[in-house]
Amino acid sequence: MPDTDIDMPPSSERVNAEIEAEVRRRRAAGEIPAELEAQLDQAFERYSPMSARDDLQAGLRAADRAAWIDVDVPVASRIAAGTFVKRVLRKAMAWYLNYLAQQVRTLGATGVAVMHALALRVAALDGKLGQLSPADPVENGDVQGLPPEDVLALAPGLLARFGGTDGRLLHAECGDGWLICKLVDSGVDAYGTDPRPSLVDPLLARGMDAWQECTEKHLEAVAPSSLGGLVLSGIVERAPLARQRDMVASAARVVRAGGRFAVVSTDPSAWSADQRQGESDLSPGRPLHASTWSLLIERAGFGGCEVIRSGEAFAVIATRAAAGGSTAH
Amino acid sequence: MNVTAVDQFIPSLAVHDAIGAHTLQLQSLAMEMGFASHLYVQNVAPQLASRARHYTAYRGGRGHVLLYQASIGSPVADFLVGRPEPLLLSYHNITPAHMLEHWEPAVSAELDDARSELARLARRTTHAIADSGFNEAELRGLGYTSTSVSPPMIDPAAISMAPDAATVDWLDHWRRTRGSVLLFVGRIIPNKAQHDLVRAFALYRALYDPGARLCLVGGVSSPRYLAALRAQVQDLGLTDVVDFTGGVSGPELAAYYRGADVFVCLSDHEGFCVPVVEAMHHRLPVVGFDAGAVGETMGGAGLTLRSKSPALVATAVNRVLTDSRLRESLIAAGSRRAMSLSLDAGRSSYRSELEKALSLL
Repeated sequence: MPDTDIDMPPSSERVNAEIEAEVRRRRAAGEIPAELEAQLDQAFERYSPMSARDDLQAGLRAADRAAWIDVDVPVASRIAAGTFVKRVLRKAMAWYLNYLAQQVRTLGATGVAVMHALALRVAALDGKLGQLSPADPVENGDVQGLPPEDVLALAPGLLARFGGTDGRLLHAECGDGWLICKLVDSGVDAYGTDPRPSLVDPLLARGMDAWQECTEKHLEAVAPSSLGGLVLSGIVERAPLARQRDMVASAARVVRAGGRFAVVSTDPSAWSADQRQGESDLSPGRPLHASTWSLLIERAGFGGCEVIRSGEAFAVIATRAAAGGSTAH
Repeated sequence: MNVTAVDQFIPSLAVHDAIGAHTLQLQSLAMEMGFASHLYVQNVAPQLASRARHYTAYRGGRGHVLLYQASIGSPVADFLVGRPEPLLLSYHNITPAHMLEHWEPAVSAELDDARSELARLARRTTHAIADSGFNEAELRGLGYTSTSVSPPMIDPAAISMAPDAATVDWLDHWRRTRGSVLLFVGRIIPNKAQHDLVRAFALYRALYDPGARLCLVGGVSSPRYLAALRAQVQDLGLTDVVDFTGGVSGPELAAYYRGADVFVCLSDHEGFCVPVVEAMHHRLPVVGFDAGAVGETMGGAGLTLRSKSPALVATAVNRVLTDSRLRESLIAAGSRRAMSLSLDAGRSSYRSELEKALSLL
C-alpha cells in the first residue's frame, strides 16, 4: 500500500456512508433485531432518574413497573452445563422466591399507591398556590423605604464626591442604576450589585457592569483594599444593627486607603409617618440617624464624615484612613 | 500599559488535571516572557500547595494583569470583578447545567451560576482566549467581544512514561486470548455519555466480537450516574467485561492507551477533550461522535460519527478494527494531529495570543 494512502485517511463522509449502508443491510437481513436495540435502550432508561419536577406521572409509571418483582431468573451460561444447573436451581428455589416476591410486590404496590395519593395532593396544592402567591416585597419595592425622588436628588452630591474615583467603585444594591449610570458617564469605573434580576437585567442591557447578588455575599468576596469607592444602599438600612455594623466593617476592609465610602439611607423620623406603618412594623431593623452612621463609620477606620440630605434621604460620606489607621471592631 | 506581572487565578488547582497543567505551563510561559507570575487559588491539591496562594491574599498593584482560568463557578469571579487591574480570561468550558440537572441537581445549580458569572465577567474582561473554536463561540454568545483561540498547553507525551507492566500484561493477554479492547478516558459524568458507549459495546459484542472488553477510565464526578451505569452493565450481562477503573496513576493511564485497540468517545459535550489527543499520541485510532469540540479536536484525524446509534457505533468500531488500511491511516493522521497539538506548539500559539492580548491593554 502506498504511503500516501496511509497518510491521508479517507473522508469521514465516505466511511460514514459505507458504515450506514452496512447497518441498513444488516438490519434488513434481520441481523440487528429491533427488539435487541430496544432492549439496549431500556437497560439504561430504567435507571435514569425520572425528574419528578418535570414529569411526576412518568416517574410514577416507572415506580409502578419497578414494583413488579420477576422471579424468573435468566439461566443462560457460557459454560455448557451452566444452563442446566441454573435451571435446576431456579426450579428448586421457585417456592421460596415466590413467597418472598409476593411480599415485596405487596410492599412496592402499597408504596406506589401512597405516592399516587401524594401526587394528587401535590397537584391540588400547586393549583391553590398559583392563586395565592403573594407579590415579592423586595421585587415590588415595598421595602425600598425611600421615595425615589429623594434618592435621585442625592445623585449630584454623590457624583461630586465620587467623580474621579481612582480604581473600581461598587454601588451595592444599586437598584435601577440611578447612580452607577451617572458615574460611568462621568468616567468612573463603576459597577453595581442588586439581588433583584428585574433591575439587574435592564442594567446589563444598557451596557452597565451589574451583578445579581446580595450585598453581604459580594462584599465577602471582594479583595481587601481593592475598591476605590463604595456606596451602600438598600439592605444597609433594613438589616439588624449587627449586620449593619458588619457591613461597615466589610467596607473598611475592601476600600483602599484614600478611597471614599458612602451609606445612603433614610431618616428614622420618616419611618414613623402614617403611610410607612407596614414597612416600619415588618422591617427587621430600623434606619439609623445620620449621626449614628457617622459614628459607626468613623470607628471602622474612616474619617472626614460629611452628610448630604435630600428630603427624607441622606448620605453619609467618608474617606478611608491610611493603612494602620483602621480601628474597625 | 507597562505590564510587569501576569497573575493567574484558578478556582481549583489539581494534579493530573488538564486545566491545572495548562495553568502551570502558562505560569512558566509568562515568566519566560519576562513577567512575574503567581498563582492564586480557591482550592489546591496538597502536592501543589507550595506553588499557589489563596486568592484573598492577592494584593496586586500597578503593572499587574489578572488572568482567570474559567471552568467552574467560584467566588474568585466576584473577587476579580472588584479588582482594579485589567482582566484576561482563559476559557476551558463549563458543562451545560441541564446535562446534570436530573442526576446531580446541586452541581447543576453551580454550573448555572458559573455560566452567569462568566457572562457577567464579559464586561470586565479585556480579552479572552478559548481552548477551541467551540468554546470561543460560547464566549461570543455570552457577550465577549475580544476573543481568540489557542489550544490548551498540554503535554500528551507526559504520560509516555513507562506504562504499568501489570496492566499492559493483562490487556495484552486479553487481546491475544479473548478479543479487542475498547477504551474511553474521562470522568464518569452524564455529559460524557458512557451509557451510550455501553449500549454500543453490548451490540458490538453481539454482532462482531463476543470477547471484546470495554475500559472506562476516569474518576467519578456523578455517583448517581455511576450507579445507573453499573446497573445497566449488570442488566446487559456485561459485568465481567466492562471495567470502571476510577482514577488511575500516570503509568496505569499510559498502559491503557498502550494496551487498547481503539479509543471511542461518544460524549454529548466536550470543550476540548484532551484524551482524544493523548490517544492519538499513543497511536490509537479514534472514533468520536461529533458533539461539542470533539470533531474540532480530532481535526479530521479520527473517524467522526454523525450519530451514535448503537448499531452505527458498533459497525464503525468493527470497521476501524478490521479494515487495516483505514486503521493505519487513522493512526498516522492521529500522530500528526497530536504533534500539531504538542506542548511546544501549544506554548508557541499561546505566547502569540498572550502577546496580542497584552498589547490591547
